Amino acid sequence: MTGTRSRYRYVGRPMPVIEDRRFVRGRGRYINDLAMPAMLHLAVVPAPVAHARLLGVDAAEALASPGVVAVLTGADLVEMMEPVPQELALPEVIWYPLAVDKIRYAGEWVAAVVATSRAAAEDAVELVVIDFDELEPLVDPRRAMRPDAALLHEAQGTNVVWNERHTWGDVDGEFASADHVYEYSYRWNRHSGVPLETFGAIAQVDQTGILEIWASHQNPDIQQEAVRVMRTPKVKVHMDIDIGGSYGSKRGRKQMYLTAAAAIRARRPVKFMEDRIENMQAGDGHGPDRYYTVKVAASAEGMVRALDIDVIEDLGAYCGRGPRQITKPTSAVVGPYRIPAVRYGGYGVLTCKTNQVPFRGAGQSPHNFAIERTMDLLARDLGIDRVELRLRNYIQPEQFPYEIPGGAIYDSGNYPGAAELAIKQARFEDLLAEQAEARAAGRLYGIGTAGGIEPGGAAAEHGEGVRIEVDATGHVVATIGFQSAGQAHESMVTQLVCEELGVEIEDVIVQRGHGLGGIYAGAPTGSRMTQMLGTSIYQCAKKVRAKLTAIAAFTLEVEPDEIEIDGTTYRVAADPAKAMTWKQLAKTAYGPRLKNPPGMEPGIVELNVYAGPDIVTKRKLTTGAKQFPTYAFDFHVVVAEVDPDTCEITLRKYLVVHDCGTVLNPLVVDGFVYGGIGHGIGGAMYENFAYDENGQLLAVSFMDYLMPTAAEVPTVELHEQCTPTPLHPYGAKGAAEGAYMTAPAAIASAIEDAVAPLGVRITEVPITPQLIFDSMMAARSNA
Amino acid sequence: MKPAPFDYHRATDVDDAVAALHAVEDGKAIAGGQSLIALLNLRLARPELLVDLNPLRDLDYIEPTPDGGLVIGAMTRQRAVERSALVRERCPIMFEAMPLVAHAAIRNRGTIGGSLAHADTGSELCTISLAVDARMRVRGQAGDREIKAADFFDGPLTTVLTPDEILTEIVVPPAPARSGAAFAEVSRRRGDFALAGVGGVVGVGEDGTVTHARLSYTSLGPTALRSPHAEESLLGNRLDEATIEKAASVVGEDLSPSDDLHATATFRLHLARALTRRVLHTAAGRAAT
Repeated sequence: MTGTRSRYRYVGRPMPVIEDRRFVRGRGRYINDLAMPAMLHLAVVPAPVAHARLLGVDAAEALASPGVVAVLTGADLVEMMEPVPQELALPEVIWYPLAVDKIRYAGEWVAAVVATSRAAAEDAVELVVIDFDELEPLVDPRRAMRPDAALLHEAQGTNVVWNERHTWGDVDGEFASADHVYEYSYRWNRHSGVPLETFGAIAQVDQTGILEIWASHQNPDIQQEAVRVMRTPKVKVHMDIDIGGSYGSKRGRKQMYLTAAAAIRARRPVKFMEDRIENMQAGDGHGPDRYYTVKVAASAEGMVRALDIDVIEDLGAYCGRGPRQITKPTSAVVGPYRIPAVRYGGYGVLTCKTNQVPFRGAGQSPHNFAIERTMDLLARDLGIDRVELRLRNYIQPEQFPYEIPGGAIYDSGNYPGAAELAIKQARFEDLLAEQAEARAAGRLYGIGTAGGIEPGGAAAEHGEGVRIEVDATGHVVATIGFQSAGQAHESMVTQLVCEELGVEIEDVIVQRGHGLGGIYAGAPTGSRMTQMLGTSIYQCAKKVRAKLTAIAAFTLEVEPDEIEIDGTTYRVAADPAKAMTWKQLAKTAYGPRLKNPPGMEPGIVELNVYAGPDIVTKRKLTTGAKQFPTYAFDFHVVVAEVDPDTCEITLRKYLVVHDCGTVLNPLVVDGFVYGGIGHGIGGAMYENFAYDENGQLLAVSFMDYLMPTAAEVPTVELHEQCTPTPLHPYGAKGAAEGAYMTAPAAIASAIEDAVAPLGVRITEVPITPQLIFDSMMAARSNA
Repeated sequence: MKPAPFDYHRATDVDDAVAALHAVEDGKAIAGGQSLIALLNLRLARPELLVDLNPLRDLDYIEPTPDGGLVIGAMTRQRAVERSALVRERCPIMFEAMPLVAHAAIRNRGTIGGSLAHADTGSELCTISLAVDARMRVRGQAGDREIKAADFFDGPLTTVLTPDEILTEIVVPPAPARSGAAFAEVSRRRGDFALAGVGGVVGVGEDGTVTHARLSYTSLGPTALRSPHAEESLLGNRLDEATIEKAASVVGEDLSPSDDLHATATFRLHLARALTRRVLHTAAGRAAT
């Protein structure tokens, strides 16, 4: 079509993040900044116990409370809506936003009060009387999966809702012939991506009868879901507010539908803004909650021949979208290693806890933790250096594309390169010398390493759309179909539009749409948007350039292939004086039809939906396996010190080598890495949605749910390696989750190395002073 | 998280505040509000009347006393205590502990009187008040009185203040001669309530034996506590390893921690012993100089 374009003008440059200007100045427009005329407010009545038969809800006194307009119960919702859709097809696991016949976890919402203010609603919440018959709480999935356990959903007949086991390669043969077989167990406690902003929604029925919903929701597909759930085609889900943090946890479908039902019932706009307790207890926002048993078969040289991975996943009271987190790791089931045989399976169990949500990596972080812990423990048991063991087992750079057991194909990578760069940059020899000195002085000083795979481009087979318009004055409007939660999507769109069309940053407006806006869009999940939206913009811009080229050729009276594009100028290659500027082209496109090529549509409005790479759209995988388009990698080196008296843990050094192929914008990607490490430190050392034996959540506020602050996160030294993917126009891979997927393993490695002289092994997160103390005591009594 | 309805009275002076509290069944004075507002929002506290002490600017001061001690007005913000050269000079253990009191933003608003009257077992200031033998000056409908810190804390979030009494001033006596003091704590994150904290003051005689000993504890019982057993074990002995070890080994006699999400009672006692050693070593060093 056109002549060649010069090197990148924007890609790879540290373009200031457009969104930052409003976020750091407090100018973001979040759900709680919106208000509708005559809007009412909703508060929920939480269940006091974990498991009970719900006998009745008496709202008479609450209805008489000042300001109260309506009280909704589960029985009302059954009349008004369909159950909330869930990941697995389980007809007997029925989920409504309010409990209907049973209470299935402490804090589950039993009724909703709608009043003129949130305070008035809360006053009335205290007056709602719940009548119930208590049942045995199911808190431990290992107990709940036993045949004699009480049933959460009786009609389902079991609490186990996912039970698969997949064998890829000659697992039994490898174990039978292995020089060494070890078995390790790990515990990954519940934590999540816990955003500063809780979930919020506003619903109203507009003058034309359309149910309008605004919500701090990251998934555009709720437009279609809401149509089904609310039993009306007249739904418009707005997608143009800022979300105050998500990484997956902002998918409050239950909250939206409850708010919508309340607005329909009250015939007025209703806002539901969860408070922190509602969010933590019942917001369906918790992450994986796992027990792992990993068997490993290895040769005498430490070559890993097979893994047998068994997972027990505590899903919570309903499926929601939690089970997705057990299956995603099949896309990178062997991590970065050449392991020929794998068995992967286990149990997804329903218990008396709030639902899981797929967040930041959708279960890959605990999986990487299990693999990397296994490599460390195997190295210790075989007496082989931990780094050396990894280097021996890594997939080698020349082996890509590399097919792993199950059939997923890794696009590209250089794992030994990243590891060796990290070892060099960390001055590993010096660290070892420091450690020897510290140990001689009685200090508990450890060095940890871990490398992890980040599958990028979730749900690539569902495509991603964008519309690019160039108006008559030459300004560019790019419309995307989702609202982003702080991952700088507007910046990426702007950057790529500038790159592809040659325009300046200030010429571009990025518009976020709504469910009726005609942009086919997926959610920003699974490090997806650079891959999917980035490619879509690339393709869409090509359509725009083709149209401009055609106009230029027509005006300049040459063939389109004689036109050369130089930034925003379209000129005749053989006669550079003959040219059209961007403004001339734009004006012409909207001008008299006679000045345009015959039959050409007026204006410049191009829509593009990228279908996803062939590797995802044209290959059929083994049952149970998943494929992501791109696979990034990072390698972490951590130094940790444990106080032998108080068991306090200090991270003394943190270094990471990160390889996500081409970095579109280092300001954004560096932020992902730093944030991911902070998040990983939280999961590894602090955050825990712990429940007591009665099923009461113990961490319902930031006083007890401990997230790392600036004081807990050390300075991170970041180095980049670049192994571009062939599956993206710029060679970029997904990047937003990887650091979180590897950090817990690296931190555990360092802490274990610190306390290893005491005979302590680390097999659980979070690693707290209490855990260290208990482990030291146990090791002492064993000795 | 909205509070239950309450009435609000903005006090004009201490007597007005006392009268307002006296006039109702269930009133509550609010100072910096850094603990009380959270309790109100969680509806764990639901007074019918809040009496706001923030207008009482005359309770905001830190002044020296002629005996070498100091007095601190109850409405003095914790941040002012933290930054006070006078506190640093005359009550160094309080100066040492102040940065550990929650976070700077909270200390900007939180008051010393509020923290003491709230009597949270996790409050460093309560522990310090015991370690330095502070005295609380209070005013109520029945008049003024002075209460020793040792008699002030009564149980979980409870003091001996009557419902219409207001803490007005904290008296910090001069440090004993040839004494040293130290505070140390372990918390999950910087600024969190401590899993365990220890304040210690030791005075040493000419002959090197301990003449004065105070050891007080954070998060190791229902409220701030002293360890009379450990204090007793120090008196008359030289502050050597054996004496310190002996003191650390007996603190459990006086402490009654409980389990929670972050630490078991057993671990807290372990920390109490470890921090007792640490604090005594530091305090001994400071006493010697």
